[in-house]
Amino acid sequence: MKKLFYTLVVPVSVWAIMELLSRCFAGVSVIANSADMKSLFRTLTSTFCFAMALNCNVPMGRMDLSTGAQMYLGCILGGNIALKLGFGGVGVLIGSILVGCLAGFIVGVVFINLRILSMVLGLGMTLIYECISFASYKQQGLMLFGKPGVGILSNIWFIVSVAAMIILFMTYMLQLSVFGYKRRAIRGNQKLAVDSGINIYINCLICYAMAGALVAVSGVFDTAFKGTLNPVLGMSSNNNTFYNMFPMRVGMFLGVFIGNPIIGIFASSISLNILILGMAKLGLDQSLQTIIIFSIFLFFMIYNMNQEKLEYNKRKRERKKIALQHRREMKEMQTQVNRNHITTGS
Amino acid sequence: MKFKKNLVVLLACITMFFLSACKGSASTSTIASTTTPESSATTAPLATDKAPAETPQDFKTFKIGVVEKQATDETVVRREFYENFIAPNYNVQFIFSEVITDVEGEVNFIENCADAGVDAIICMRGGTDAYQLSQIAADYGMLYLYQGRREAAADLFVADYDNFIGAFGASLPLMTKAYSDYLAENASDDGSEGFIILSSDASKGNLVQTDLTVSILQVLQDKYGLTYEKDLKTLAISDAPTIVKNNKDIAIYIYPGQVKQDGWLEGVSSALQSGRYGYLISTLQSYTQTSVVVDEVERTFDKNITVMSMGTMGDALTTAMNTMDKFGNPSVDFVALELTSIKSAGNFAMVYNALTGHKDNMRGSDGLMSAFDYNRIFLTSPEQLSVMEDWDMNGKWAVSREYVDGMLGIYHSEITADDIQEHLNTVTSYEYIYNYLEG
Repeated sequence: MKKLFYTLVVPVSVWAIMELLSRCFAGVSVIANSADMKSLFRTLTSTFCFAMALNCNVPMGRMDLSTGAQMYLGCILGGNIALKLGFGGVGVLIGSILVGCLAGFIVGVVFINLRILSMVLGLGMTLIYECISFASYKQQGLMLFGKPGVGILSNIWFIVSVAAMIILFMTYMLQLSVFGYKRRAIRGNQKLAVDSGINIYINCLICYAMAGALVAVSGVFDTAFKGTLNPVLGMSSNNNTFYNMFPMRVGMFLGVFIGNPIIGIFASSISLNILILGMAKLGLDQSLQTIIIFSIFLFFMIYNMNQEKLEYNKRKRERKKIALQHRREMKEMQTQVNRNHITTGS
Repeated sequence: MKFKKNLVVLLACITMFFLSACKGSASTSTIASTTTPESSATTAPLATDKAPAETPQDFKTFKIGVVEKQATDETVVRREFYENFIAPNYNVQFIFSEVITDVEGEVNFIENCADAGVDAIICMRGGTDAYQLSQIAADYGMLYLYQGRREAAADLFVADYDNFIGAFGASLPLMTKAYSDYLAENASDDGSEGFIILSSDASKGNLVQTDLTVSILQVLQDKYGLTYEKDLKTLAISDAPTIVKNNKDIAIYIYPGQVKQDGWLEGVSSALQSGRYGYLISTLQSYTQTSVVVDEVERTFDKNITVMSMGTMGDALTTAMNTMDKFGNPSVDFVALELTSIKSAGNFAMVYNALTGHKDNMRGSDGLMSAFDYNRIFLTSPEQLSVMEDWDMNGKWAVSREYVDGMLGIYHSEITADDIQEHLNTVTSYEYIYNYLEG
């Protein structure tokens, strides 16, 4: 019950606030019709998958900045190959996952062999992957608009099914499987994990490959919504990485209370997308929306980074309170003793 | 250990290969001339004298840098036109940039072009910083052509620097008339369907989009006898989504921003999902991005949404015109179409005249360099597009060698700015180009 409460409290609170603001200032509900619901689920799945991809590596101390570029590469190459072979939306999704997985795997191989700092490596691989995506298919990227058979990518039940499968798969992989246990052991203390016989390299490769596959899923649904995915250069693909750090971090925080970081990330993704939908309903400018979102992220990070200090101060205040109370009791006792002494001992 | 060494060497080579393939802002150097290219000029093109020449082969192989602001069908078509038609016929080489969206990127590209011996820059990016960039080009001895409206680069015209060639932009009167005629003919008598206007970069000083937004508001004002609470220009350049209040409570909504901005599509989707708007009028090419949200809203509300947009020939337009919504209408109902070859031919002619010593032929009656206009053509049916599908593709250009020659000073030494504009105006309509290509 408690876990359910923690799962729902943030999304429901965000929805309630945005619903109130939306009705007061715009005269409409945040989720007014099925088109709103479809739009929410689609963007939610995209955000959730990207945040999960970041969750594969970031908690392990690997800040992989090439996830955005892996998304572009996976979708553009995998998606176009699938379309050329005449596969529909499901084919595009599977093709993108395979190429994205390969792209992530390659980054992992380079990382474990060259031992370059993951952030630096991520930047380098971003440049390479962005160039490949840009040079392919006459710089046109991936266009899903009007292509036969891709309508399924906009079908709400398909989107829900994919999201559910990803939740189940990632819960199994990260929470219940041997791989997940090993991953947590490595996260706790890498040296101890190595000494206990865990192959940290295989674990790392699997994490990178999973991240690549997940960002590709995110990219496919995003492209299905926007109709096209144009390649970018100059590390512009990093925008997606930084943007999705927010739901990933909040999700990990919630996951501590829920007991499952995957559900936590899902809840935070819902919250973020309801917030964005609400701000869109209010007609806020995009730059203002960005300021609001990243301000909330900043405040959350400040709180998160200083949580221990806050806990320490709280315990200190409690100890002080107990100490003061004890002192008062001692004083009263002493006063009582003195009074008795005066009464009887004179 | 040996494996790691070999891997490092291999990766270093791959990185160098890709970095050189995508180096700086100059993505390719194209050698498209069939004649032996002369060595790069040590003389700045500004100093080219007006010695008469009969043919392009009498001149050195000029190098022209093209600044691109987006990666769309137009970019691809322009590249093919320049590389496969202009370069072999006029003894020139082209260098194309990657997508450049800011001043720093363009400065970087200009510097790279200077290293490559480029003689002139065609800036397709537009923007309000042409004055600064023209100066940078001048420092490197390069000529500079601005793609856009005269008003956006007014300082440049007044300053009349030696390296400034002029400007080249879309003809606004024809475009606004076409939008106006379509709305007058197709919009309802009471305006009850509601109108969303995507004003794009009007809030950032893009004059074409500002003027087009103002014109659309004017059209609606005239058609329905509206009185707005604010003046048209103030409404058009608003940088936040704006409900245009009027005396008849007709739903008009102005939505600014670029397609590639985060959250732009979500905002458009949100506005459409209110169910209050039946017209989506765009001052930029956006039918690919908005098609899904328009289709979903049409299905949810069982209401047709008419889409009007700018566009260029290519796969995206073909798909949009041939993809039907649930009412049997194409995904985009009206397109103000730009044939890239017409636009690119005009740009080239201006630059080539300046390079061959005929820069002064392009001065207007005020003695300053000219801002020339080109025309768009307007599509309203898939049948028209089916005829045009292969226009500006695979060598089937909407302009001929004679059309380009007709604007060049090397063939018409007494040509004037008015002559050039009149020549540009000969391509005025779908019917004209149809007769040329299909007749």
